Amino acid sequence: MMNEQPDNVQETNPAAAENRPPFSIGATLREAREGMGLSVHDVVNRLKFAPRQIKALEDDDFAQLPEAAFVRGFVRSYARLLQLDEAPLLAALPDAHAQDKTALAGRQSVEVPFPSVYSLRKSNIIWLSAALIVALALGLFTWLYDKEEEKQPRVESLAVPLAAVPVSAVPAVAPAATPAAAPPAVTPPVPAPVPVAEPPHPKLLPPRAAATPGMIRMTFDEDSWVEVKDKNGQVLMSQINPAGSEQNLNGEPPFTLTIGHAGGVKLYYKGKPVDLAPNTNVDVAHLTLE
Amino acid sequence: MFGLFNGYFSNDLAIDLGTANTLIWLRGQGIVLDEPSVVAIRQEGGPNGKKVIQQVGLAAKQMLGRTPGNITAIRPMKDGVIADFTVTEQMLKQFIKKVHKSSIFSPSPRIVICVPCGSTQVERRAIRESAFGAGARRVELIEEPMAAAIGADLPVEEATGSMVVDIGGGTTEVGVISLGGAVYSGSVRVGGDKFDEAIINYIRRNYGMLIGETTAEQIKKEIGSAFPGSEVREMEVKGRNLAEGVPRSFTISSNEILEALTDPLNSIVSAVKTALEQTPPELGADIASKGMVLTGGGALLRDIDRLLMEETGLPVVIADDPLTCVVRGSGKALDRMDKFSSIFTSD
Repeated sequence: MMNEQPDNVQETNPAAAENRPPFSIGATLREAREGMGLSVHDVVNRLKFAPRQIKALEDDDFAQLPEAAFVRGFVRSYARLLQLDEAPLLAALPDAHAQDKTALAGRQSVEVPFPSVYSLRKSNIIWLSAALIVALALGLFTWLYDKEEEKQPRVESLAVPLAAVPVSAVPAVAPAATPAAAPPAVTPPVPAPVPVAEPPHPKLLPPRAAATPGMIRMTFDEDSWVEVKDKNGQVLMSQINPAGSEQNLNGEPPFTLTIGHAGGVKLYYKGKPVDLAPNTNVDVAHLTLE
Repeated sequence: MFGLFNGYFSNDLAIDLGTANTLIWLRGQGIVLDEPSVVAIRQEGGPNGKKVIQQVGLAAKQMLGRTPGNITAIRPMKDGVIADFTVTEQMLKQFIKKVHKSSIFSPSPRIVICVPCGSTQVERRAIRESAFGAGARRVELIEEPMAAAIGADLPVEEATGSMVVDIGGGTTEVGVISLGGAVYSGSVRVGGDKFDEAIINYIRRNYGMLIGETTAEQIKKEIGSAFPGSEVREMEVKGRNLAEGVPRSFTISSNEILEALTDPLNSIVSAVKTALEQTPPELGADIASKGMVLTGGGALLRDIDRLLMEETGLPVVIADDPLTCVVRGSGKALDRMDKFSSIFTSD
């Protein structure tokens, strides 16, 4: 408050003098007091205000006095003590004091919430959940991607031969492609069947053709259920293969095969076609390859 | 949704639901109602006669102690809190209806009501519920010392201690306020009613005369004082002589009333002293230099400021228009309801 700072006395005094109505509260009070023969000390004893405050009031020096509400009460008590009419005195109080604008004016506050343990924990939780959501999204994406991949499980592992496929058709580069494909495949003449398989399913077969180096190779003209077990009885394959697909299997011989719809399946073992007809009972072929 | 809609048709209210008087402050209009908290209820005739509210406010107060058998004039508030829930609710409803002229929509205003700081949670809940029952859309409670301090224009938001003593009809509230909050607040259930009671008891004991509450109040207002003054005033009082059983008149002086009021005044003085004892020294220093402010109807008792000044040795000033300080303060709080939500009590 302005009126609590003694520095402002010089500034406020002339201003108060300007606004002051012809009659001065301080002078009126002082005259009345002296008229009654009371000293400042008597007034202090009676009103309990400090002598400096009483002097300030009599000098109309409101900067030295407390807030407006108190000054009004002060003037009222003083007037009553001096048996004066309080109304004109109160009316003469400067407006700045009559309306204390500071009451409930709202202090300029920073309004920054204090970082409590709770709020820290809360922000942690937010970060944690955000991280969790990201991780979940990533996981989901990977899973979906993998699922798509499953349809062409071998493509990935045979990336190099895949690149070599078109090349394999070109004689000049064929040797380069073959060694790359050679290690898994035992037999060099693998590319040979490729042209065979190619015509019916040009789209699907090239990658399959590249996957040739299997001991057992099956091409399916019809949907067929096939089960293949190796020497240890481990199931290498047990599934329905769609028409037009091709399967390559490696393992330890002897292999036990059960082939449904044997009529629509062509079987090659170590690159040589195997005739299923002798082993076929009704439509299912049971045979062992050594 | 309808509440929101109705909000446009009803102004917000601040209510000082006092033991003696109820004051209502209407946003944009100021104090629109100042009536005694009295309700006159008439019992209809017949075996299944229902109760009807005959009068509220001033008209009902004139009936106090003068009612026939089928009418009871009651004061539903006692010691600053609700003594009769249903009647208080009805009274509030009637008062709100009086100040709300809107007839098409039933009023559903936001209401700020002040409660004594010493009231219990149950008592506060009762006041809140009765305001809801009277049709309020939203009810906020504000403690009386805070409302009185705001109403007396004290610098409540400043980092300076302001002490306010609100002597109401049922309670005396003492509060030390700084930075928009109550540093200390205390309440004693002594107020104007206790003064009246003390006067009735004194006259019965010393004069053998029985007087009514209204007469006691009149005596208090005319010649009551809290500190021995230079002039002795006298008043002629009429009452019923207990021994003879007939009305008699007698004269009583201000000194006798001062003697009668000693007990309740001492309670107030000790409440103020307790507050000063509990106040942190920095704030105590502020109070010592600025003084404490008296509000409420009790501040109008002659020389009560003098009594407190002499007892505490601190300056004591009386606020402007002490009777309406609390409701004006509540009104100011209502105006800034959204900004100063912290000054309302939560329970």
